[in-house]
Amino acid sequence: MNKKGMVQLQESILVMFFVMIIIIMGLIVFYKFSLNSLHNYEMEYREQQLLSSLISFPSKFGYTYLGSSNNAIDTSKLKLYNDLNYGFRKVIIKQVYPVSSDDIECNAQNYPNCNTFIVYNKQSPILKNVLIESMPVSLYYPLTDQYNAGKLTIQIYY
Amino acid sequence: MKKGQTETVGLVIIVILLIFIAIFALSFSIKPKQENDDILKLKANALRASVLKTNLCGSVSVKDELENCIDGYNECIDCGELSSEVVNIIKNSLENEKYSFTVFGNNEVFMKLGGCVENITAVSENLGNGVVEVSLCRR
Repeated sequence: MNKKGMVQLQESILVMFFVMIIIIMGLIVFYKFSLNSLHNYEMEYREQQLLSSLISFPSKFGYTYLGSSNNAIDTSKLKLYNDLNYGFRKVIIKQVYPVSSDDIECNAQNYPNCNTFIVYNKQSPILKNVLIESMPVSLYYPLTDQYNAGKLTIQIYY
Repeated sequence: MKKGQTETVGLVIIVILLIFIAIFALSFSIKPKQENDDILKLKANALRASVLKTNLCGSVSVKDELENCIDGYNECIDCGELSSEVVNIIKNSLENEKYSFTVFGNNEVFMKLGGCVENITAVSENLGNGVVEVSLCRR
């Protein structure tokens, strides 16, 4: 092979090399993009799950008077639900006003002299990630006919 | 076209392709995450309902006391201290979110707490003699 032929061969190999690099880069970018959009869809789905939980929980435990909703959680109902199954999540309702210095978990014995209701708690040792969202709620205490301010916190494990 | 010119055009095409790939990759890697407006709206509405319903003393709620103070008298706490009590309820109810709580009475601003540049407004609630508007701010 003469010298000119050698140079042309090297040139062709170089061009092929660059084309391969571009194709590989394109594939990597496409893979990253697909992975990223899949992750975004997953997070959107979980946020929608969280949002629907935030909407449905207060109405499930809602205080109604003569059939009409009073936009408040009836705290006496929170002790009754022990057989719920909402998957791996934790639901806490905490009274935030009037403010009390200690967290006292509510049970049948100390109600209504307590401030924290753990409505649902199911955890898994495998699921390490957690999505947390909270929302203000009004808490109704039927024994004293009082409305206090509270905070509903939902933790979804995934 | 001479051979040298052909090679230059090829090189330019390769460079343009590389630039396109880089722009495509960058646009996805630095895309900011949008705050979920639905959750903010839900929280703002819940906050308004929760604050106004809360009892200050006996059966007197924040809503009742706001109406009283707009009319110039009070039942539970001094009208000057009512705003700090409302701030107390709001701050304990939220997780460090910024907010705006405005009460209009007799066609003027009676109480204004917090403030937002860009906000998600909750549905306003009518008092007997005024209006309450609650907003949560986009972070």
